[in-house]
Order: sequence, then C-alpha cells, then structure tokens
Amino acid sequence: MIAAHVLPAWALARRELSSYFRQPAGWIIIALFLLLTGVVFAFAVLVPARPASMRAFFDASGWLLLPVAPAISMRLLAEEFRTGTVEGLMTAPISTPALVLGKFCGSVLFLTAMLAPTLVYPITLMAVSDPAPDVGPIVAGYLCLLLLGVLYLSLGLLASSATANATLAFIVTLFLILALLLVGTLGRQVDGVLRDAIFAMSLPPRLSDFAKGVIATNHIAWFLTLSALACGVAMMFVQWRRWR
Amino acid sequence: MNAAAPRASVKRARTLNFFALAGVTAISLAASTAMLNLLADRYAARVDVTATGEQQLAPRTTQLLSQLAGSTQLIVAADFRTIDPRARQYVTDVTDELAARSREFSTTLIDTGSARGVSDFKGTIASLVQRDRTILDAHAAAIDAGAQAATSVSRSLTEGIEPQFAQLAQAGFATPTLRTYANQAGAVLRLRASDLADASIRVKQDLTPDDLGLPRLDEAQRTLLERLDQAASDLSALARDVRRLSQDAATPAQATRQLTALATQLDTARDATLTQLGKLRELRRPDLLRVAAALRTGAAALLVGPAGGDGASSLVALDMGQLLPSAAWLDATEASRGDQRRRVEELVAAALASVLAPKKPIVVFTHAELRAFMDEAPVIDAMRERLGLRGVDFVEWPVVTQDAPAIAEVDPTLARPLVYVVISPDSAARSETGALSGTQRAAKLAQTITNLREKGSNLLMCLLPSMLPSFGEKDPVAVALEGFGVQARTGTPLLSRVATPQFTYVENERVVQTTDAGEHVIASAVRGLPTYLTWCVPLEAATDSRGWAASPVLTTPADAQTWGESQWLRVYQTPREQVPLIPDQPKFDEGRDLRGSGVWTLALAAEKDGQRAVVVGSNSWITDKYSEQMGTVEGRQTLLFPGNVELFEASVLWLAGQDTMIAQSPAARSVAMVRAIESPSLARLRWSIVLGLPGLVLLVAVIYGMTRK
Repeated sequence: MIAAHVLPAWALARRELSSYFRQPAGWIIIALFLLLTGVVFAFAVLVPARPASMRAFFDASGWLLLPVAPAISMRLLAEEFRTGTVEGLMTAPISTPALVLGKFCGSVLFLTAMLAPTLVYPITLMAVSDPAPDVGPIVAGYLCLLLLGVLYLSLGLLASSATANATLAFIVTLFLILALLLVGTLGRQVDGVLRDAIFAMSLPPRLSDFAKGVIATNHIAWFLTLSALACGVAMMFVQWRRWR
Repeated sequence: MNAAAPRASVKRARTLNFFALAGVTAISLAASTAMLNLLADRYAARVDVTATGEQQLAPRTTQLLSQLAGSTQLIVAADFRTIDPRARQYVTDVTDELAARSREFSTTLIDTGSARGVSDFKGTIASLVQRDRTILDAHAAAIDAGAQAATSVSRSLTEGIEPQFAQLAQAGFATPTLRTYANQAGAVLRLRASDLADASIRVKQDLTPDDLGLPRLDEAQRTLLERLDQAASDLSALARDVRRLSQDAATPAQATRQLTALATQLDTARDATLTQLGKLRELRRPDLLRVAAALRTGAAALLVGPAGGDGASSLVALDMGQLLPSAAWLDATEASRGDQRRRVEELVAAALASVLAPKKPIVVFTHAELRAFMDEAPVIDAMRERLGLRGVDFVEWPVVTQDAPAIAEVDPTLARPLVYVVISPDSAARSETGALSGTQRAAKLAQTITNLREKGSNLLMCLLPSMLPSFGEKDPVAVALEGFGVQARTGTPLLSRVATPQFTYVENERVVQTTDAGEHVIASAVRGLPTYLTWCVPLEAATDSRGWAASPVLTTPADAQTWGESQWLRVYQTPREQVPLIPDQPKFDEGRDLRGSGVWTLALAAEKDGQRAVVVGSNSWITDKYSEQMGTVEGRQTLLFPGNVELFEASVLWLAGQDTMIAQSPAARSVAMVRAIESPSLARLRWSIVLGLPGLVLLVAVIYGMTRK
C-alpha cells in the first residue's frame, strides 16, 4: 500500500513543491500574499491602546486567501492537460489517487511555506504588547488558516482537474470560494430547513470561532470532509481522462 | 465494418458503465460528507484554547441553559450604524456560544436601520402579540368593561343624581346653605361625570393597536384607575357630607328625605366605582406590556422564553445601554482591562434566570411620609419601570398612616418573595399641624424595621443623617439597624472639603466608583460603576454582630479631605447652591467628628440564617433625580451613574433570594494591550511589515534564481 500509493504521491508532492519555487510566479504569489496580509495586520491589528489580538487578521483570512489559493491551484492539473505532459503521468505506474493526492499535497506544502513568514506578525505583536497576547487564539487562528487553505486548494484542484484551461480553473475556483463566503447572505432571505442547510455551508461563522480561540471539532470535520469530497471528485475527473 | 459496430457498442456500454459508477461514487461521497457533518454537529466538542477561558460560558450560565424547557430566543433590534462593531462582536460571541451549547437557545439580530429590518422588527412584535393574544385580549376586555362601567357611572351621575341636586337647589324650602351646597355638589358631580366619560373615550383610543400592533393597555388602565379613584373619593366625601347635612337640625324636613335618598344613591355609585377599581387593580400585567415601552423606542433586546401555562410567553427586556455600550464606554472598559464579553454573558444569563424564575419579587416601598406619593409624584418611576421589565411589582406602605399593604391584591397566591425598601424620614423636618414630627416618624419607622426583622423579612434600608445624636439622643432607626448587626453613624454624615478659586466649602454629594469592595455578589454587580450618593452615612459591622455576617458593598477611600461631621444641620438646611456662601464652614473637630482610616463603607449587605438586609448610607440615590441623569455620548443617551440602578436592582434581587438574576460587572482581568507607540515609530513599523516582508521574499527569490543558474 505504502509502496504503491504513498511513496509515489510523496515523490510527486516534492516535485510539485520544487516546481513552485523554480518559477517566478511562485515567489510573486508569496510576496503578494504577504503584502495583503501585511496591510491587514499593520492597520487592523497593530493599533495602539487596543487589545493585542490577531482576531481581526484571522477573521479576514477567508478573504485573504481568496485571490491566492486559485492562483496556486489553477495549474495543478489543467496545465498538464494543456501541455500534454499528463500523458506521461497517466502511463506511469502511479495510481490515480496517488497522482491527485501528490499534486494536492505539493500545493498544500507550498501554502504552508507561504504562511510561514506570517509568523512575524504574532512575534511583532508580542514585542509591542503588554502583557504578551494570549497564544491560544493565535494557534487556533493558524490552524484555521491551514484548514482554510486545504479547503480552497482542494476546490482549486477540483476545478483544475475538470478543464485544460488554467484561467477557467482559476475563475471557477474563485467563484466556488466566493459562494462559501457569501452563502450566508442568501440564507438570511429564506426560512426553515433550507435556511439551516444554507447556513451549514457558510464559512464566516466557522472562521469566527477559530479567530476568537474556540476549536470546534465539527468545524474541523467540515473543512476536512469537504476537502476530501473535492479531492474525490477530482480523482474521478482524472480517472475519466485516464480511462478515455 | 461489422467489427467496428460491436467495438462502438462496447465502447458505449463501457462509457455508460463508467458514468454510472462515477455517478454512484459521487453520490456516495456527497452523502458520506453530509452524514459525517451531521454526526460531527451532533457530537461536537468545543475547546476554548484561550489562557483565561474567556470564551467558555460560566458554570452559572451553563446551568441555566440546561434548565431551558422550550425554545428561547434572544431578539436584539437596533440601528447597527450607531452600534460600535466591538459591542456587536461581544454580543455575537456570547450568543454563538450559547447557541452552540443549547439547541433551545437562538438569536435574531435585527438591523432597524434598514427597511427590511424595520419590517422584521414589526413582524417580530406582531408574532409576540399573536403569541400572547389570549391574555392581551382578556386584559383589554377587562379594561373595556371598566370603561363601560365608568360610562355607566357617569350617566347615573349626570342623569340621575345631579338633576336631583339641581332640583334641591331650586326648591322653595331650600335654605341658603343648602342651596349653596347643592350647587357645589352638582358641580362636583358634573366634573366627575365628565372625567369618567372622558376617560372612557381615551381608553377606547388607547385600546386601539398602535402602528406596532400593541394596544396601550397600561395607559388605558392608568387613566381609568386615576379617574375611578378620584370619583370614588369624591362620591364618598359627598355621601358623607350629604348624610351629615340630612341629620343637621337646620335642614328643612322636606330636604332631609331627599338628602337621605341622595346619600344612598351616592353610596351606590361609589360602590360601583370601587368595584371596578378593585377589578382593575387585580389585573395581572402581561409580560408583553412590561416591555412595550422598550419596543416603542425601536431599539430593544428581548429574551422570549417558552410560553407559560396560561398561554402567555415569558418576556424579559435587557438594558440596551449595557448590552451594546457606546465606543467611549468600551474604550474606558478596555483601558481598565474590564471584561465586557463577560458582562454581556452576565446580562443574558440574568435574563435567562428571570425567565426561568416564576416568582418575581414584590417591592414594598416603605416610608414614614404622611401619605402615599409613589403614584402621584415621579420620584422613583424609572426604577419601577426598570424592575418592571423583569416582572417586579411595587406597592407602597406609608407606615405612619396606613397598615401593611394587602399583598394579595398584587399576588393572590402570596408566593412571591417580598422585599421591603425602607426610606429614612427627615429627622429635621418640623411637624405640620396635627401631624407627626420628623423625629416621631423616625421612631415609627424604627418600630416597623424591628417588626420586619422579627418577622424574618428582608429589607433594603436607605438612610438619612439624623440630628438626634447631636443632642445626645439615639437615632431610633440606627438603633433598629443594630438588630441587623449594622452600626450606622447617622449623626456624622460625610462631608468633603472642596477648594475653588472663589470659595472653600464643604460638599455632601459624591460619586463613588468601588473596585475592591470584596466578593459579595452585589459588590461584584456594582464594581467599577459610578454611583451618585448624597448625605452619606458611614457604616460598619456592629461590635455585637448578633450572628449577622456583614459584607461591604460600596466603599470610598478615606482621604484627608473627608470626615464625618457632627455639626452638619446648618449645611443640610441650606440650599445647595448657597452652601459655598456659608461663613464659618464646618471643620473637622477631633473631639466630636469622625475620621476614617482606609475606606469609608457606604453600603453593607448582612445575612443571618437565610434572612438578608442591605443598608445603604444614603437616601436619595434611588430617586430619578440622581439615578436617571443622562448624558449624550456619540449620539446615544447614556446613564451617567449606572451604579445607582445596578445597586438597586442587585439589592432587590439578592434580598429576594434570586442571586442568579444578578449580572456581574466587568471584572478586571489581564488583557494584553498594544502599547502606546509614537506615530513616527508606528508608521515605520507598519511600512516595514507591509513592504519589508514581501521585499525580503523577492530578494530571496532573486538570490535563489541566481544560485540555481
């Protein structure tokens, strides 16, 4: 099992990660993300005589990752389909799940590398606060960022697996994420079971819980199961191409 | 060609198979996802990873939530444009946590600043009215019946009794005295008849629902009660006078018969009036009416509990000013490290406790004035209104002239806890002709206090200084309080020296903001809240506690400028604005005045074997004049001295044994704050973060690219 799936997936993940850093686009994505998050941190969190809390930063995380995650994921499979290099992958002794998960893990590792420099923010906050801010909500906030990134990337992977056009994959991913961010607004217009179902798909309340320092198992399950669903459907798309 | 056809059909079959399998897989995946999420929601665990556990609900709140037996909804309606985002966040933090802990609890936020919000607000009120339709209709029907009875009495006066007086006045046998009296009586009857008819019309208008769908039942009931009470009083007096006149030797015999008949008719009319008065007084005020005034302001926070046994819902209104405070208040709270989130939780928990507690206390407003004044003069109307929002009723007891009030009129079951709010009389007041002096009234009140203690009653005592100790005598009220283990220095009220460029004078009024009075639940409730007190009497636990355990509730530091003055009467009797002009201002005298050390205790809570008492060394703090002083902050009206309101509410609830209904004030906690950074340094820090990190990453990218080549 390990030899058949995990090792090939891991090799693919490493290759994918290094490919991000071999191109200028990867570095530019990181720089732009840090610019965006820097603005939010500097002007919403670093406010003298206010509570030293990164809550505003984490509350905005859903929007901060919105332009970045589709950019990371749009080329995962779409580019391979467009250039034809996917044929080599399809004929290689690597299973479809290993292929998809390898690509996915590579993008997640890149996301993690992109989030790492943001640790400067809580360190800065600790340096300028008295007493030092509570670490618990910060840890919860970063867990949220990670889970959010995983979800966004899985949606991007799904879009990328369905088309050979990277731009189209980017747009589809963007709209899928926007739907999760804005569905709550629609929910307020309806009543009953439909309202509950719509709110169950809404992202902001879950971000808010993490941001204030509450880790809820149902939120973690929501992120992971939706990511798994997206990855599963992506596998089906890839398998279809393989089979075709 | 034949080989190609089977290949195509095989391919078609395989395609169909693939899509069927893919479809089933997709559906299975989706169903599994949904099922897992449903299970995760059902068995969710929430872990508060904050160092102080600030996102965790207090054990009291969790316990109250577990007692909810039906759907309970918190409705907060306000114009969100005027609400500070932090205030709103605190409320949503708390309500999210409450909803996560209990399926019975839900929250609705209505933005009345939007057209949809206004419509939702009206819809909410309409649904509340519909929910309580039965009891509201019954209430309205009873008031309507009262109005009809008033009309009937009015008609009997104008068509039956008044013409007889007119006839009597014009009779040939009428003496000048009789004629004058008959004319006067006729005028009184016409006036009362007109009042009653007028009241009926106004009641009909008030019974018509307003634009919120709420009939003004309180106003209608109040109007009828006033007019019927007046009519009953006048009819009673008239009947008495007519009867006396009929027995007067100077009255002609023909007039005597008519006067006797008139007296009987007046008695009948009075009895009919009193019967209606009794019925109206017995009406139990629906919860929705208690909060109607709050609803009409367009901004309200309501906790709607499950419907009660009689079909009515249990409704409590929360104080909007405390639930959603202004930005200035939040800045001050955050600066003092107060926990506003906990305060919001306490407010909601207190409202939950109020909904769950079926027996709301009754306050017996006890005083030694010569007659009842609570309904005539707006002295404590605001306090009554605030506690009324929680279902607390008030009755008045002027001990000098009346026996204890009939509680059964307010509470037929006699199961509701009673709290006696006792107000000291002015011992310096002179006696009016035929009435008791201030000293005599104090003695009467002291006897009442002792009787209450012996009966096991709970009381809130509001003290005034007494001039008796200045003459070497004991203040009877202070002596009665020793029975509660409290020593009140009523002979030496606190004065403070104030120096201005023009004058140096003594001041009796002070704003107290206690932060460290102890852990008593009332002290926790008023912690940090400004409280306005006048003529403060210092208190302490009596040397012989008699088994009473006393805890300080309000304290103020004993500074060098403040002392207990024994020669205070001259200042007391001088109008406040003229006090600075008094020559020879009181000064501290070592031999007869009181010097404090540490703190002065201005309010104490005492308890013994379940009996409770709260003593406040000031009198006027509960009056609207001081408790309802308002200021405008960011366009919103805010109480300047919320401590007065909180002290009264917390004391009443504690004395009623309903400690869970007392909301605690924001306790000081260690809140991390961003230090004050000078603008140039702050700008440098910000821009280095915004541009420095991305720049660093690009630099690393360039170096990496170059090293790879």
